Amino acid sequence: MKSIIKLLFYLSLTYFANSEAQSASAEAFPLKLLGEAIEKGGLAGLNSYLDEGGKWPRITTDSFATKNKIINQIELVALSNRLVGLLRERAEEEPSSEINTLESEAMLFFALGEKLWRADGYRNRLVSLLCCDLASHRCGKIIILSRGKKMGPQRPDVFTVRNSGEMLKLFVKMIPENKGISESGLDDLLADAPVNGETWLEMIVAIRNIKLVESTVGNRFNEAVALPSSFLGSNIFKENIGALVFDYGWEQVMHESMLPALAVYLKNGGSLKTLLEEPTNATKFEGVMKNEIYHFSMNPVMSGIVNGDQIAGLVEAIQSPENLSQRLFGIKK
Amino acid sequence: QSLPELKVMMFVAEVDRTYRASDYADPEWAYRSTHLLSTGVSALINGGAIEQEELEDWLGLSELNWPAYPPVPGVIDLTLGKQKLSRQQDFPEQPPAGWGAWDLPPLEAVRGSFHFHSREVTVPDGGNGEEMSYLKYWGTHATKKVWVLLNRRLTEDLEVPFLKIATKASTLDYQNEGTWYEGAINEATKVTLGDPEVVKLTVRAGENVSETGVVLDPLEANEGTFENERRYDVDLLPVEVKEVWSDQITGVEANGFPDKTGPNEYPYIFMGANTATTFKVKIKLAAEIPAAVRSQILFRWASEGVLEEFLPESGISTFSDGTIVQLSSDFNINVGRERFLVWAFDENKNGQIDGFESEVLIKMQHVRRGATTSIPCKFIPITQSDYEDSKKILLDWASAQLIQIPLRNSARHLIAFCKGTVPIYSGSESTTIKRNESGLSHPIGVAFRPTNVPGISFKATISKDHDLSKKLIRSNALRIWLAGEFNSVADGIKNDIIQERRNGDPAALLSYSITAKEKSLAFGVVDPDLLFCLGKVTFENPTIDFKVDMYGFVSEVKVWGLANDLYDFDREGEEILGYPARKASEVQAGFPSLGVGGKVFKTQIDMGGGNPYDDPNLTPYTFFPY
Repeated sequence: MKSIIKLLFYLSLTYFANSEAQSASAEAFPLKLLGEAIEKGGLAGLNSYLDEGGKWPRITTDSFATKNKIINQIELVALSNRLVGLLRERAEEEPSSEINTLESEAMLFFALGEKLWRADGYRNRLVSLLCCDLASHRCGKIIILSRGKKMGPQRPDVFTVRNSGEMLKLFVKMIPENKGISESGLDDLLADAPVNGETWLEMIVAIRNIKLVESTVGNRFNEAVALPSSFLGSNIFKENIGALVFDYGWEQVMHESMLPALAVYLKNGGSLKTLLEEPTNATKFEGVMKNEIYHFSMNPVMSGIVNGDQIAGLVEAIQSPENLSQRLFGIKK
Repeated sequence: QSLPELKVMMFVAEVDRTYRASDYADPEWAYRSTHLLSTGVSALINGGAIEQEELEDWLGLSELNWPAYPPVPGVIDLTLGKQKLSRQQDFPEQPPAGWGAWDLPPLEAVRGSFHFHSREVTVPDGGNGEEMSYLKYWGTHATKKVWVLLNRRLTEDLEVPFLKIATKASTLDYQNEGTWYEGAINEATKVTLGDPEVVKLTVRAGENVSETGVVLDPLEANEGTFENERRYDVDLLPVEVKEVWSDQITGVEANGFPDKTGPNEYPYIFMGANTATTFKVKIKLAAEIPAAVRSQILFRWASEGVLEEFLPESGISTFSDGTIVQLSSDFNINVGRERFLVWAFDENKNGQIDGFESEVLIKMQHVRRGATTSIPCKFIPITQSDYEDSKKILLDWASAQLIQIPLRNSARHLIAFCKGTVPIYSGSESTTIKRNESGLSHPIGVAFRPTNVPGISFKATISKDHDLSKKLIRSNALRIWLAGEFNSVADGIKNDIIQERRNGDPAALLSYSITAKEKSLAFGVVDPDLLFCLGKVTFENPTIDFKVDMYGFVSEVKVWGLANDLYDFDREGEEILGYPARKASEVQAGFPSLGVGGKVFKTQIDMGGGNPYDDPNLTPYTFFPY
């Protein structure tokens, strides 16, 4: 009995000691460790650290942080920026020509992306999509090297979007992070009367037409509720829920439509040279694809089918670090 | 209920000599005013400006009630705007008693340059709507004569800004009977200009009198009662803006008021600046401003303040002649701020509008969708920095679309638009664009020339194998359009099928070729690349070849013809593209003065016999849907 009481006493002391330690260092200690993990091991080091039980903090927008009194937002953003910097460096590197190397790199990007997505917060999720996009391009390189026989690693489920309704859910959920939109009451309106549409693009049109007190959503949030006008990488530094949702959906299109279409094209003997040199000449693309399914859907982002011109754009980005970096971060100054 | 629209006709007459007084107690000036009014009406009629019946109808009178002494037809000589009038010749009738003798020397060299202006003012509901049973007018006397004819009594004041340039009160004292100036006014006795001042000639509701004078009633004149009219003692010079236009391209009058703000009839002038710091417009006045006071007539831009007041900004306005003024800005234009046109009389001659020199907001008639309104002259100038910033945003955006999302045709067009080049992968032909070209939202983005000939641009030609042509053929919009065309011939084809079925061949196919009736097609959000690249197209020679089976399904559909578009950005358009679309309109406004980017061009797509039902997943149209 004594030993049991001793054990309980020991456990309670340990618990309180740990709680106190965690409370005291809740802000500083994990960030320091995360920073060290990045400094020492780069992206792989960070991923290993997180696999071993390390936690990545929720990182949101500055306005949401201010509203919720997150006092270490500056440190959190600095940490996030350090990660974005590493991802950018990877985007600007020439991709390997070894399928094994590409596979492990894609797996790393996917794994990091999944963890960031689960860590939640506007900023985390956009960086997560950046990881997913980089992984997709490495998968694309695998498809090219294997002439469509290999597709690269599986994409984590968190990036799967089944329909435009799921994109709307994400949009509404993320609205509190955008001060302007959240204060307009749009989230309440959408909760009461969800918009319909086969694609996210159609939903954007419907959302833009919603009447607020003084004007429509389109007039008041002309840039935020529209097709994104900036690059995924630069959206991280803004508060643009619309861009996040669009980029999220686009990752789905990339994996479910464009990469498989590229694989089918190559498996059927399609020429990369033709694709790149005559990108608007859809006839040859269809000539190669017509015995297979070429009408890969652009849903849930927008209606339409994948064509040779779009695949050409993807191949340009897969094969050229400059194009990939430009696609993600814009033209380098 | 709404009252009929009030119409105001204004005559401005000029005479070489100011006035010839009589040594009789004849109110000569009234007589001459009356006479000149008659002459003005005659001039309009004789000059073909308006028919008498039309004028009567316009004035709302069953019969034109002429002033006291109608002119004798054929006597008045208006050749080259000069006329010599002789009372004896013009008015052989005996005047009423008290009008004095007829042996006065003739009025010499009356310049018959009668200007015709009309204004239309909508009187709000609730006015008394009383029709005037006779023609009223007022006249002022001296170098300018002004009459305003109203077709009915006003229920609210009507203000017309005028510049008062002289007063006769000191010379001719009409206030006191018997103190008439005796003897002719000649060069030696000519009235000199007094201190100029700006007045607003106000026609009072229900009275039709001016602030500075009283009604001169021709009916009263007939009866020889002339008490009131003697108090008329001012000269009024109208400073009325007849036209104003952007001088973005020097000497080109393509973008302005009235009714030249583009086919979409937006109530403002959207324009690019001429340089980094200045934007220019030209202003045409309805009547000539005498050289002596031109330097004191100041036109300026004004911004609207928080209390909806207008705050004049610095600038330079220069008369190139008596009626044309060029206004150039001299301030920091900033981003897309709206500016309004004002004028004021520079009393202290310091070249700027001071607080006490109250400015007048210039309004113009504007017609949109058939409705005429009077609106302030509003301008939205685009600066060099606006232009460059917008261009950069667009190029960044387009670069992303080229790789990121399937709007590559839109991106190619946009890149070409920003760089002033032909879109990559398309051919090009020289073409022209008219000022009122269909699809041109504002008359900007085209290097129009001084004459009215169209501006030169290019046509991007898209072959049938081009991705854009394929997308057009397979678009949702085209299938809807096609269904409409099939529906229009459905009755005949159904009968043909029924007839053919009697031959007993279930595999029989009927062949058709039809010319499409609907010649335009608009794209929606379900065809995003077409929506952003083209918006809508008009078809040229659209024909549809197709076969129909015995179940009514079409097959081997071939759509021929050309699809044409004008690449223009509507600043007011509600675009899903959001910010970039508005930015693109700013780049368009900057061409050609701020750079080569922003040129509007045409796109012509060869549909080349493409089949809209090529996708095996699509169910073709059927003439028997149930």
